[in-house]
Amino acid sequence: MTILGVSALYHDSAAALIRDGQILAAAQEERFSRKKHDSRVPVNAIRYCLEAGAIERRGRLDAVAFYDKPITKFTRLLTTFCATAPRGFKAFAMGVPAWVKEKGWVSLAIERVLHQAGVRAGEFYFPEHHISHAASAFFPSPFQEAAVLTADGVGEWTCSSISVGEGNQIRMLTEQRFPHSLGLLYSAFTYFTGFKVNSGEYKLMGLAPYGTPKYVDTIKQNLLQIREDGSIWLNPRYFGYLDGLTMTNELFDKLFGGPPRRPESEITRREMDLAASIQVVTEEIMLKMARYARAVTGKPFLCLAGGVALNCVANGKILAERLFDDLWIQPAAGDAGGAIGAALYVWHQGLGRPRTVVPGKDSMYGAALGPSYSREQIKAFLDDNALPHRELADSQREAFLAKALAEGQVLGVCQGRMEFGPRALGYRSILADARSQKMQSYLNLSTKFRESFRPFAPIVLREDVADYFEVVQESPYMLLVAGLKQERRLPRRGDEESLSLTEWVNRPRSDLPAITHIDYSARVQTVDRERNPRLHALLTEFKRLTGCSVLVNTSFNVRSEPIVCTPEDAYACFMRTGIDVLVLEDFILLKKDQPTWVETENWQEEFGLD
Amino acid sequence: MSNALKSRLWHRFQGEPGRQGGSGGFWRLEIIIPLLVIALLLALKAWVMAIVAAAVTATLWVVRAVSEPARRRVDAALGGLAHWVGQIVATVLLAPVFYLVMVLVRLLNRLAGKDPLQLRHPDAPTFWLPSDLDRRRTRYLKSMFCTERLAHGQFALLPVLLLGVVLLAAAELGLRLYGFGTPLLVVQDPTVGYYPKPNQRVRYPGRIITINNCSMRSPDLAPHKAPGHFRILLLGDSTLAGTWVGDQEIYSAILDRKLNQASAGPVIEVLNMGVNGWGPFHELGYVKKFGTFEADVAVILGPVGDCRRPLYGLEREGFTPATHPPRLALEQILYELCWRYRERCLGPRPWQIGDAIEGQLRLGVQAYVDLARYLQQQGAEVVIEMMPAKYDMLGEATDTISRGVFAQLANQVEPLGVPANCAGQIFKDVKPQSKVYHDAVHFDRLGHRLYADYLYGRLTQASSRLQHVLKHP
Repeated sequence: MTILGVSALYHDSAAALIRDGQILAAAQEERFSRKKHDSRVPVNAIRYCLEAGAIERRGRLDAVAFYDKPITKFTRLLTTFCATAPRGFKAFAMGVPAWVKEKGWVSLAIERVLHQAGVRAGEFYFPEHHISHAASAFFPSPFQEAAVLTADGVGEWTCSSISVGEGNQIRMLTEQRFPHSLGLLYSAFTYFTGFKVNSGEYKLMGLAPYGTPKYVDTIKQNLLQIREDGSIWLNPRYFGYLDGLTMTNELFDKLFGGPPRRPESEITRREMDLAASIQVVTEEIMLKMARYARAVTGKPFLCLAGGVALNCVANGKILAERLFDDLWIQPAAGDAGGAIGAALYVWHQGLGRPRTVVPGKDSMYGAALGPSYSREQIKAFLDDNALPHRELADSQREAFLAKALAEGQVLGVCQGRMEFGPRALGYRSILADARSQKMQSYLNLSTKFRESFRPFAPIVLREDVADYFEVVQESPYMLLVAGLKQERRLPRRGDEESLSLTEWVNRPRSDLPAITHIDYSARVQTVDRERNPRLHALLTEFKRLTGCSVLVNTSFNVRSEPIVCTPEDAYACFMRTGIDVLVLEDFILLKKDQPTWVETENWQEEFGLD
Repeated sequence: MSNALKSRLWHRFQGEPGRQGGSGGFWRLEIIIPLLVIALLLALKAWVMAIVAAAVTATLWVVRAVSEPARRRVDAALGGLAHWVGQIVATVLLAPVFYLVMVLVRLLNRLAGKDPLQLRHPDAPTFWLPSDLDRRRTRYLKSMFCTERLAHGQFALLPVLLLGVVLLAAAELGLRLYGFGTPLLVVQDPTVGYYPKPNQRVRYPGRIITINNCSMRSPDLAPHKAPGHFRILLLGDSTLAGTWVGDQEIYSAILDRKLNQASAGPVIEVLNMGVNGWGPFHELGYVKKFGTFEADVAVILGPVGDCRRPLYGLEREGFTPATHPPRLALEQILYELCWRYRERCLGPRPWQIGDAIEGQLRLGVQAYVDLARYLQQQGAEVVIEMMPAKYDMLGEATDTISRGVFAQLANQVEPLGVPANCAGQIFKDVKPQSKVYHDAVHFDRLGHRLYADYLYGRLTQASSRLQHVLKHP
């Protein structure tokens, strides 16, 4: 039985295909459309899923699951307008046409895509938004029973929920409803500090260590009430999203000493302190929620999903508190993951099908659920375009690449199935030597063309993780932040706060400076042979050469560009940036060998700002 | 080397076909929409505009076909234009919904103490809400909108809809009780213009209007005058129709009572043939079509300004009533609001502009003369009793325009031997003057009483036939 899961129309639309409970394919539309956070009906992602599931013309899907209830969401919108009228007309006039035109007819739009592909759609299901999140967190997890905590901006009404998962059943116990949302609170600060909502939240998180949490009391005394069980009440006086087009309003400005930072303007001490403060508040709320989830469910394991679950610093704090024996976070914790959750929910709970759990092993296949390209396809691409390349067998390949890395070269890797979710996990990644002092600045400014303060994540051999980081369990999806081992840290000089952001970033902090954030933390990804044998082999070879089993791993894209999908995307990105070596499966392309690349368009303008 | 890499392997995942509004359907739009616009312009015989539209369309097609960057820019510009047009249209359409419905619902919610967003309870011990997902999870899994709330009767839209229906029903009932929903109906007629549908009994707020078998606001009339009866036919406009007062309060009814009290024997029947909006052409048409009902005396009444009213073209006037009853009282309200709005938008009537006024006045005066002559020919003694503007009647100033027009009329009927009079400042000494008129033209109850007294005096002086049947002429 084959079920198509779809999430769309808000941000990060995606499609996923499951067959008899197994995830066959999942991909985000942005990777195909090349539009970051593409929210349109995922035409291309659906087509990819159909092909991955070998569903050809005249084929049939048994069911289609959309990840929320559109009309319920619309009633929430209307209820909000009713609660704020006569204020909020602008939002009403902008929002309602979108519903009338598109959002209210999502099933028809999906059917149309399937019809064009010659595929008959089965029954449509509409699990609720947070149930889809909860299902995406629990059903693929390695736990037979677990507490499930979800938190994001808002679904239909629910903003955060606690559920209990047992076998093939999920039961939501309690929820918080709009507008009292931790996700929206965080997004308000994202907006206020000059980053893009639903996109720049991770930047705010990365900025937090640079600041002092001096606004924590102000936030807690004015913006919200926090209960010991982690539930919150947001003071509507300070927020603009109920009746306006912005997240915050003048009172918020007044509270924090001025208007929001203009995007791309200089980041000041205020933004750093605000980032630090909201991070502290978020961690406090998440910890309290997790504690409450443990108390009400009594389960020893925790599954997390929803956009807030991408806050890997808070995740790390939950893990460090040892509230649960183990933690599993859906790698596509945002709305994209809802596609998988909706499909799995229909399979297990809607249709009552059993669930098989292999202890210690999740069923996300390392999040490598996207398209891959065969040797023949890549060869044809290279030959058609007369691109100089060499083809190396496995052992030669790893040796060549490890040597290039050790020499300080930057690798662009496009191999295997593309990742599902926001993180590049080694299939569409840029890799570099983490020991290099200049690498963080070089990658940020010459390769990614992004803000210099942004940290990079490390990949480390699973078996060596304890040698480098204060974490012992695996983190295959880069969703946990852990501190660097004490012995690897360089002491602070004490004058850091007087430095400019650039000077501070460039000051050495450890023997792995490229991946050590200024608070000695790192967003760790552990690499094991089972999930990603090629990356494991490369790290092993690098370790053999250098004695270090850590590399920088960042997504294979430039700022505002979706992560590359095809070899063609990878080649274009390779030529536009400071990447020295491009890896397309077994094919190696060196920048110095390539013909001159001439841009016919301003690609940076095309991608815009994120 | 450019970034236009050859790729025969992945195009199927990168194209836009199937995307709503994408290039897959755009070519159809770009052909169909301009053709429709051009066809419309041709249908309207706007040749130049059609040629311009065709030229612009052709230019855009060529530009789009020749250059890919230009195509993108053109598409972006057209998309932007469509977006803004859509925004404007949406704003215009949605503003009434938002400001009427949403505000009303908010007020009702506040009155009912509801707080659907939990904005007013920051002191709750917890903000977690119990979740009854057991009910949600399978029963409503296939529904786009049903959640457990529907089962619990908490579904927000349903009460709003129900409330809307109840409010509309209550409004309809209230309006009907108040008298709306059964307006006075008229019959359209080529000779008369229009006249009240016979045999109507219509209730308006605080009053009843009865229309008899001959379309008059009087008791039913026998086809032939009974022996010993004396008939006075009053012809006029809304001031005579008296739709702001009840059947027995109108000055024709009061006059009827007074004359019968003073009668030496004959029963005097005062026939009220006054209709909202009528002028001399309507009155002439009416008596030509239906006769004078064997009237002994015919009195032509009304403001001098009625001369301006043509026989046709009154459909834009607010007082032009309906030919069919509305299905709902609310519909009548909507109609009333619409014509008031339409009236404002349309501005002055054609015959009120420039020289047309003079021409129309001349025609109107002539029509009054024709009417007087026709009535005489039918055997009635004719009396003309006009009135100037309200401020003149109240003694505030002299309505020189009306008096000037009346002088023309009086001169022209003099050869016919028709006594004509324009009321002077007859309400000058009345206290309180504010009770005399209901509005700028029509009498209130006091006005009707006073005018009946005045008219009694005038008729007993001007009509020799009437003098003959009264005890104390």
